[in-house]
Amino acid sequence: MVYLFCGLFGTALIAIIVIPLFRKDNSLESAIIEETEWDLLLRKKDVILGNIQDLDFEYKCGKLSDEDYRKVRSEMSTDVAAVLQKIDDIESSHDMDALIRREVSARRGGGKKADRVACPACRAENPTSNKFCAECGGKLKA
Amino acid sequence: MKRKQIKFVVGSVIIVAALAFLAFTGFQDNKAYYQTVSEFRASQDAAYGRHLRVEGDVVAGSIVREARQTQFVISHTDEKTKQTHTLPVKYVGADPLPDTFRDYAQAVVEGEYHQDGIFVARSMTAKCASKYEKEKAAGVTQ
Amino acid sequence: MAQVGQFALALAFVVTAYSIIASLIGIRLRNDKLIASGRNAAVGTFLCITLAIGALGYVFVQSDFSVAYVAEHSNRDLPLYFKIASIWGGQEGSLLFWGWLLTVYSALVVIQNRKRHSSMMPYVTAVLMTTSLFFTTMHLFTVNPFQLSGVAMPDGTQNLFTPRDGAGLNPLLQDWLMVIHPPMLYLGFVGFAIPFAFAMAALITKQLGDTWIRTTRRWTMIAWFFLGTGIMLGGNWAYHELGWGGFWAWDPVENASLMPWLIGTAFLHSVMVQEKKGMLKVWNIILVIMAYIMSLVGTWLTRSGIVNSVHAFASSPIGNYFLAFILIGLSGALYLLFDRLPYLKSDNEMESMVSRESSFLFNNLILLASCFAVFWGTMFPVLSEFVRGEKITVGQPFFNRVNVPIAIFLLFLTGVGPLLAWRKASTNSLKRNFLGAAVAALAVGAGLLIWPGIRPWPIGGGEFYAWCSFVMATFVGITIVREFYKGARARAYGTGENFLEGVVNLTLRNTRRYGGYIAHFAFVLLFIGWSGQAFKVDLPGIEAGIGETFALRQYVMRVDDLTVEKTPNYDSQKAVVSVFENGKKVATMLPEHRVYKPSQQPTTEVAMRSTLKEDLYLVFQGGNLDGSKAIFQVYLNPLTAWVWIGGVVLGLGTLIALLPNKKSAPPKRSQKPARVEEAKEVESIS
Repeated sequence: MVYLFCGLFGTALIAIIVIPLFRKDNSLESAIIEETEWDLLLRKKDVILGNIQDLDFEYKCGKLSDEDYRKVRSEMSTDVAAVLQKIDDIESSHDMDALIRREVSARRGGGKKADRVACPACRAENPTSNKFCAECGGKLKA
Repeated sequence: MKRKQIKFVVGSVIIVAALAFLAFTGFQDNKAYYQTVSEFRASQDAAYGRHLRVEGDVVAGSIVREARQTQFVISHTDEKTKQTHTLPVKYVGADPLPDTFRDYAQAVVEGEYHQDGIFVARSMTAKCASKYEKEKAAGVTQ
Repeated sequence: MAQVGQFALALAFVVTAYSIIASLIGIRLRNDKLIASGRNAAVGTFLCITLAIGALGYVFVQSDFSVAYVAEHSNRDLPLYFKIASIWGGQEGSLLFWGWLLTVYSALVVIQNRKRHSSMMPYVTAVLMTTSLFFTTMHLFTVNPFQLSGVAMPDGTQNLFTPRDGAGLNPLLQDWLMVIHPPMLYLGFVGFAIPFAFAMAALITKQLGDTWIRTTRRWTMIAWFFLGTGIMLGGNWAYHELGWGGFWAWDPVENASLMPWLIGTAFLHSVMVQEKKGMLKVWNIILVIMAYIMSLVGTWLTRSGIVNSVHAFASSPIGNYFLAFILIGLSGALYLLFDRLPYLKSDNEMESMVSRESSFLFNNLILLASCFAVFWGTMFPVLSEFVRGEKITVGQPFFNRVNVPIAIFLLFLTGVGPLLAWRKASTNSLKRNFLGAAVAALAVGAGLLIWPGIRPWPIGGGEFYAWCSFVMATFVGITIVREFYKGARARAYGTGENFLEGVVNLTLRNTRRYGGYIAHFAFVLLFIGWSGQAFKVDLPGIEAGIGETFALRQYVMRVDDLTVEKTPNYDSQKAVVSVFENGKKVATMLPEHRVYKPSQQPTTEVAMRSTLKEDLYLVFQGGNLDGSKAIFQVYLNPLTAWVWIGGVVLGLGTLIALLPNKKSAPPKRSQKPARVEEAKEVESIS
C-alpha cells in the first residue's frame, strides 16, 4: 500500500516535471530584457507624474507653503519634460529594435567583451567577425 | 554638492558617536563574566566582587524554597578532568523563579560571590533539556 | 508512514537539485522548455516537502512512537491540536517546517510570475531552490525528523525499540499562542528569501532598476507582517505564560527575531526612496541581503545552541553547516553586488537635511544601529570567548540603554518624516505642519508632571524616558490624526463626501501611505504601553492561607480557596482569589500551578485582570514548605494592554497597506493627450 502510494506520487511528480520539455514552441521569452533604457524612462515618467499628483494633494491639504510648492512643482515639471523628450527621441528614431538588441547584447556579454565591437557611427555592438555594422552599414574598424 | 554631503556625513557621525557612547557605557556597567562552576572555581580569588553569570546543573534535592529567598546548589563536571565542582547559591531576586527551575535543570545565576562562600544571585534563568535529549547526549559521548 | 516521509524527503532532494540545474542550464541555453521544467520542479519540491510534513503530522496524530521525534515531543494524552503543533515543537520538526514554508513561498512565487520577468525568474528559482536544497540535505542527513526510536549501542549500532508513551511536549509550549507563534515567526523569516532571490536575479541579469523591488514589494511586506505578528505573539505568550510579569527580556532567541525585523523595517522605508527618487539603490540591495542573512542567523542562533538561551534546544551539529551556508551566501551576494556596482548609480542626490529623503536616511541609519547593537550584545559572549578566552555577557540593561533612546528618536522621525516635503522643506512649511502638534505635546508633557506626577529625572532614568516617550507619542499621534483630517477635508472639497467617507476613501485609494500612517499610529500606542513598564510595582513572595489578605496599591486580594484538579495531561493546584479595588469586589482570579505528567514539569498559569489603565497580574507559585499556605507573587503593570492593542493596530495597518489601491473614477477626457501636450499641461499648471 505504502509502496503503491509512493510509486504513484513519484510518477505524477515526474510527469509534472517532464511535460514542459515536450512543448512544441520555444518562445525565447527568457531572452527578453525587461529593463531597457526605454522601459526605465517610461516608468520614470510615471513615477514623476505620480510624485506631482502627490505634491498637488499635499498642497491641497495645506501641508506645503506656496513658495515650497511652486519651487518643487516647477523642478518636477522640468524633470518630466526632460524624460518625455528622451522617450520621444528614442521612439522617433525608429530604432527600437536596435535599442533592444543593444540592451540584450550589453547584458548578455558582460564577461566577454572581446568578441563584440561597437560601431563607431551608431554605437551598436557587432560580433568582431563582422566587417560592416549590422545596424547602420557603417564600416567597423578594429 | 560636496558641501551638502559633508552635512550628512557630520550628522550621521554625531548620531553614531552618541549611540556608540551609550553602548560603551552600557556595556561597562552591565558586563558580566560568564563561567561554568568549574571555571568559576578555577578562577579562585578573582571571583570576589566581580559581576558574574555562572552556569551549572541544579543538584537534586538541594532546593530549599522560602517566600523571599531560595537556596540551592549548582554543580558542573569538567569535561577534561572529570572533577565535579559545586557552588551554593542564594537567590534573592524580585522575580519569581522560572517554572523550568527544578532538580537537574541547567541554571544560569547572575550576581556576586561573597566571602562567606555563597553566591548571591539577583536573577537567574533555567532551562531543562528534556530527559530524552540528555540520554541521547549521554549515549553519544559514551 | 515514516517511510513515506523519508521517501518524500529523498525525492525532494533530487527534484530540488534538478530544479536548480534545469533553471540555470535553461537560461544559459535560452531554452524556455527547460526553464519551464525547472519551474515545475520547484512546485514539485513543494509537493514533496508537503507530503513529508503531512507524513510527520500523520505519525504525530497516530502517536506512532517508533519515530524518535514523535516519542520525544508528544504523548498519548496530548490534545489533538497540540499533537499537530508538536510538528514544530523541536529541532528536527521545526527545521522541516522552515523548509516547507520556503517551498510554499517558492511555489507561490514561481506560479505567480510564470508569465512575467522571464529573464529573471530562472535565477529566482535557482536561488530559492538552493536554499531549499540546503534544508533538504539537512533533513535527510543530519536532523532527520523520521529517524526511528532507539538507543545507540557502544558498538555503534542502533537498537530499535518503540516506547510505550512519548516524553510529551514541553508544557511551556502547550498554549494556543505557542501553536501559532512559531509558524508566524517562520513565515516572517522565510519570507525574506523572496526579495533576496529577486535582488540576486536582478544583480545577475543586470536589470537593476526597481523591477525587483516592485515585484517583491508585497512579499516583503507580508514577511514583515508575519515577523512582527510572530514577535508580538511571542511577547504575549511570555507575558501570560512565563509568569515574571514582563514580555521582553532581550533573550538571544528574542533578539534573533528582532534583528531581521529591524532590517526589514529599514528596507520597507528605504525602497520608497528608490521608487520615488531613484536613490539608495546599493543600500537597498545591502538591506535585503542583510534581512535574509539575519533571518538565517536567527534560525542558526536558536538551533545551534551557540548562545545560551532560556529556550531549550539541545546543541547540535547543524550549527556549523548553517554557519557555512550563511557565510557562503553572504560572500556570494556581496561579491555579486560589488561586481555590479557600476549599474547601481543613483539618479538623484540628497539636497537638504530637512527633507523626506533625509528623514528616511536617518531612519535607516538608526534602525541599523539598533540592529547592530542587538547583534553585538547577543554575540558578544561568543566573540569575547573567541578573542580573549573569556565569555563576557551583557544583560537587559545594556540593550535598554542603547535601544530606548533609539526607539524614541525613531518615534520622533515617525511623526516628522511623512510630513516633510521631498527635496527640501522650508521653515514656513515646517511651522505649518509641526507648531500646533509640538505645542500640544509640550503642554501634555508639562501636564504629566502635575498628574500623575511623573518625575523625569535623573536624565537617562526610566521615568525620564517614559516622559519623553509620552510627549513624543502625543506629538506623533496629533500629526497622524491631522494627516487623516486634512486629507479627508481636501477630498471633501472635490467630491462632496462627508468626513468619514473621506477618511475611508482616502485610505483605500492610497493604501500604502495611509496603511503606513495606521502602522505609525500603532507605534504611538506601543510606546504608551512600553512606557507604562517604567512604573511597574510588585509584591514579591507573599505567603497567604485561606481567608488571609494581601494588598498592592489600591487592590486588596483575599484567598478564598485552594483546590486541586486532575486532568489526563496535568495535575493542577488552583487558588481562588477575590480582588477588591478601593473596598469593592471587582474580580475573582484563578491562578494555577500545574505539574505536567509526562515531563513532571511545573508551570504557572498566571491570572490577570487587564484594564486599559493597568494589569493586575497574579502568580500562584504553589504551596510553601509545610503546605499550610500558598505563595503568591503580584505585579501591577500600568498600560500594558496598549502594547497588545498597538500590536493589533500594527497588523491592521500592514494589511491595509497590502491592499491594492482602489482606482479613482475614470477621468473625464476619454483620450489621453499626446506626450508633448501632457508635458505642456503639467508645466502650465505650475
